[in-house]
Amino acid sequence: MIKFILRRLMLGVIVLFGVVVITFVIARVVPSDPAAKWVGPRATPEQIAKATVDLGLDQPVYVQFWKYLAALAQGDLGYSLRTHQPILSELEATIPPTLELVTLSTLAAVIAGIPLGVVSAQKKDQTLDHLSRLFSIGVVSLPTFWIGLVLQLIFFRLLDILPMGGQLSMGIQLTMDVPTVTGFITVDSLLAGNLEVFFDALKHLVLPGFTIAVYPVGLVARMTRSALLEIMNEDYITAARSYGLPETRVVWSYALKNSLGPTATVVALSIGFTLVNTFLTESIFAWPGIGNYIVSAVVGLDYPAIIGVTIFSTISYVILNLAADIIVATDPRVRV
Amino acid sequence: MNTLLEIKNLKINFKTFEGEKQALDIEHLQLGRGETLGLVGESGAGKTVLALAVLGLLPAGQSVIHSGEIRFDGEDLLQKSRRELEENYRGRRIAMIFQDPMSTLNPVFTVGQQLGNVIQRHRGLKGADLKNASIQTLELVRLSDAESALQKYPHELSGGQRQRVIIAIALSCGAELLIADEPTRNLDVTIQAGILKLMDELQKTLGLSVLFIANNMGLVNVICKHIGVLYRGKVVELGPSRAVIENHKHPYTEALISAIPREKSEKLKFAAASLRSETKRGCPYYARCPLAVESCLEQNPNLIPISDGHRAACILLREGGGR
Repeated sequence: MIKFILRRLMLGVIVLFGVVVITFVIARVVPSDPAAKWVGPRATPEQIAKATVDLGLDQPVYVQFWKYLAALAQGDLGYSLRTHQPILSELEATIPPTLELVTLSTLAAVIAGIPLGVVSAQKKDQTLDHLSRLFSIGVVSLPTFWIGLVLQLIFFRLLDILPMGGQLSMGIQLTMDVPTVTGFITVDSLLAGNLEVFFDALKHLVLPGFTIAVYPVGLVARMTRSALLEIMNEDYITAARSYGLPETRVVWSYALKNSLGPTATVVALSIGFTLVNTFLTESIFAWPGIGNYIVSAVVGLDYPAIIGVTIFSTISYVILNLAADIIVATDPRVRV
Repeated sequence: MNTLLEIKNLKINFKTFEGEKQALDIEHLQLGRGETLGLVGESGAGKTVLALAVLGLLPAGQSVIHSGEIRFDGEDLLQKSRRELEENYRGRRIAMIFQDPMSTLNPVFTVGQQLGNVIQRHRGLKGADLKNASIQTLELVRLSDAESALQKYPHELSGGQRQRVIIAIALSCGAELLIADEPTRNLDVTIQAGILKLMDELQKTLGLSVLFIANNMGLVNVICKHIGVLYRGKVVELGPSRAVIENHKHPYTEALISAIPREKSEKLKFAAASLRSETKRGCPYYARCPLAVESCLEQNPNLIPISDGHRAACILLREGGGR
């Protein structure tokens, strides 16, 4: 098992290298002048020329790439062309809010999606099943930004019970300080015992959290349903029933454990999808996460930031796939 | 005879896109306590449907039970709720063994978990008692090294070992009736013999009543005192094994018996797939029957008594067995 994990991690490093190469090349062939971005709109030609030398942009691309890799190996992702801040510290600030959303949506996918799929399979072709399938197909086919906008329209504009965006109300953000432990404001405020911050953060989390969670919930419910329906036709399920085991046990234990492999894979894939989905959702809800960060980085052609975020998403994908493979490997039939 | 299982006027249809199709139409079938009844017929004859119907395991959306009674120890199982069946009958008083040992055990649970769950369910044992009972049950079916087998997953066992485990689970809670649905179909011939011998012994030592389902007359003859021949959902011949084998009256029974492989010199006969086009009227065997005449199309023949307990359904037969 450890050998299997190490082998997969090695593969992950290779994937990461490939991604860095591709992103680096694409970022550099796009017509833009990083040096001009670095010095700002009102710089003199001399300043731009100096920045070009300072940033090493006068050297051939392969030398630049080699230098970038050497710095990367030491954990240095370079500086943002727009803010002149280290990319690493900007990522450190923007990743936790995104992870908060992603964690929430993943929990929802597992806690709501799997049971929804199981119940749907159990009540196949009955009203509950039809409703659950309608929900699954609906949320998977509706664009995330549309769901977000409609939710804002209803809960902010019409009902005015939830905030439109942001992670905290301005007043609370300015007056209250919560020590950072996990980076998740909801968790940190609970740890600090500050309920006022907690409830404010929770209120802000509802709409973006819901927007981002419906897709994985629907997808996982649908996949669990179809995996389970197939398994319910297996001989060992009929056999389990013939032993007089209660139906709930047959479904929730004997059948569900067999569908764990496909379900885990879908959950892992949907986390990856959710990461991409944060780009839109965070923009709509002004959520200070990595999605919002990459959108402004792309618009500003801030290539060190773009590569930094790309490395982060690649690492996430590699880890997620590894996690899914490990869960699949808990099936006793799989030899790794 | 003390009757344990009695089936009366059981009609089961399957829903298809072309409307309902008859799967089973059984006028009367019974099995005495400690007796063995073999049901023979080709695939699709309704043997497995009958077995599943007894346990209430027919898929609800696809089958309709139109009428009839399945009486077990006097109680009509068709009137029981799923819960009653789960608690008092399935696995507890009626056990079933399935065709394919490769797919009957759950691949992601150990033998110990699967056996233990059933023993715990019906006998309420826990901890060390549960383990001891599990080991005892596995020893009953002569599984070598029972204790270590508990830790194993099904894929770590051979086909014969798996079938032994399946028999162990089925018989772990003192069932009175054992329904064996072609238990040796997917096993090697040498293993088949071992499993048949085991079942024969268990039947005698535990005083089990056995409903043995097979498509091979030879197999059924080894285990069963009585034989019923099923064709297209209907019993076409029924009686003590000796009478059915040696003095068979129905042309389909004859086809089945001549299909048992014997010595080299004898030519293997086989039943013609079809001599005439299928009809919905009259005798179900009409299309394939070498003896069929015009009047076979007029009515669906009833079982005609031939000798004590031996009956066959063919209009060419007269009472006592003459043609």
